[in-house]
Amino acid sequence: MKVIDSSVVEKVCYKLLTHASIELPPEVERALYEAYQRETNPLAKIYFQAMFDNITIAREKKVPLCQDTGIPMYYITLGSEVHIKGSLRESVNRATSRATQDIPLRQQVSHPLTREVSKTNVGWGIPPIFLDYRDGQDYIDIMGVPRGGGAEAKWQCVHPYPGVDRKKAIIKIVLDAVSMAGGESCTPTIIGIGLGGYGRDYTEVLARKAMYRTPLNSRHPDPQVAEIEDTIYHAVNKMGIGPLGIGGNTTCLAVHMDIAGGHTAGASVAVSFYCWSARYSKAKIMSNEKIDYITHPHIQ
Amino acid sequence: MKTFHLQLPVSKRAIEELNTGDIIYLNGRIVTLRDRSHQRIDEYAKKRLDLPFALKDRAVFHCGPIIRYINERKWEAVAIGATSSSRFSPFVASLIKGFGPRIVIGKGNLFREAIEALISHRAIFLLTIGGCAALYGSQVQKVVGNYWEEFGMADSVWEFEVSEFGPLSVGIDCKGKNSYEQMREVTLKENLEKIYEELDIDPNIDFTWWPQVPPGTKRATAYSIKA
Repeated sequence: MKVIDSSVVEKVCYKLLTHASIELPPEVERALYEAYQRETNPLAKIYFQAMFDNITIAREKKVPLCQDTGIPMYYITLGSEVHIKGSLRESVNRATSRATQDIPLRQQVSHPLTREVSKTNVGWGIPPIFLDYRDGQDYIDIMGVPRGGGAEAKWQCVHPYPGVDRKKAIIKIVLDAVSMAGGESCTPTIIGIGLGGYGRDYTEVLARKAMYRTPLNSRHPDPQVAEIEDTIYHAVNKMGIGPLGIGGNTTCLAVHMDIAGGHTAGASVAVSFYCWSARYSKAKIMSNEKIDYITHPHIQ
Repeated sequence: MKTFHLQLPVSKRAIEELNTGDIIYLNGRIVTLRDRSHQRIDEYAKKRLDLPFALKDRAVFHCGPIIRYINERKWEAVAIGATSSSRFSPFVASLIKGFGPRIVIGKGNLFREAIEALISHRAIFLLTIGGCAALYGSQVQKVVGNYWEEFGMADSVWEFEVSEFGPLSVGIDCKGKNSYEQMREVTLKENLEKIYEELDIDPNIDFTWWPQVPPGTKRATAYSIKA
């Protein structure tokens, strides 16, 4: 059994939140550049140029890409052959609080009724920790996400009529969600789709996790799911919403769908969006000394 | 699509020259507003009270910035970018009628009452490129003041001196022409018709079984469609 010290987890969480807030993963930047090249609306092209200027300035000045530095979220997969010594909760809280002060991040975690604002972005159960587990794994997978509110607010989860053509129902539900979100989800977005997983919370987590799939815009191993991803990707980019709703043929950067077993009486469909400034950072903690930063390999 | 470099305050004539899709760079003073400050300004407008800061010759900006606090009266803009304007739409009319700014900067869309106020007061709605807060932050020359500090970093009112603040595009001009509405109501609808035809999906079918809408509200049922 490998033992990882909680202070190492804290250090990694701090670096992941910091770098995710300041620098886009290279694959997202590449996808934006490809979108810019295929965009045909001249006004939309000006929008893309501003996005690239923004990416450069944030990197050079080490300031957040977006003023909405989000609700900090951590996705952690533990293995059966690895153990954390010390408090995971405290490591995550301390990392978040320090990053909030140092970068600085916007102070925006607030009490949902009184609106009292936390100065550290820690409080009332935030940051959430999404824990997963894998047999035989002797390292820790960890991802930090500063999850902005604009894209988050536009998620949908519906339960279609069980007897209908399921592929058509999924496509229609996703296109409806994209139409409703318009440009206000900060298009071009990464679209995450969840299907099945009894209970809408599970379906939503499927959609949420699908958004962060690497490589970006790769296809699901199940060819039936991959076909739906492909159809939706091409349909969404024909909708004409364009960057931030200004019009154009670049409304999404990627479509990722994931599935889990449903109930015989049907499977719910969830749709989640990540704005063009799709900020996330991933690492593997191999040991107390060896950490692989996957999306931001230059982290020291 | 023309490009304009404007100095605040802007005249009524300068506003009338601008059309949806034009690109704007602003120079002068802008004031940030967000949920709590917008709401309080609405109360001040109703009670005809004076505000502790000027709005008339400024542009207002729907934004909750990230600020570095240097000392009690000195701050630095770190990242400033627009938040979704649609949620302030009910407050925009009273803001313009009561306090007279000619430029509202934001993201997304505004609705009927706000647009009517823009038309009658010769004002415009400018769109930022959402997510470009590092870029817009770099165009702030000076953080001039902070008001209603009790609302916290994001919701209190910040006054910035900006230079070549942009690119911004005219979202709603003073004739009421609305680029976002044009996209949603014309372009998107036409495109969806074609997309659904190609995919052989009936656009009038709502596949949703649940969530339902409350009794008395109309929603098409899908029981009639083929499995």
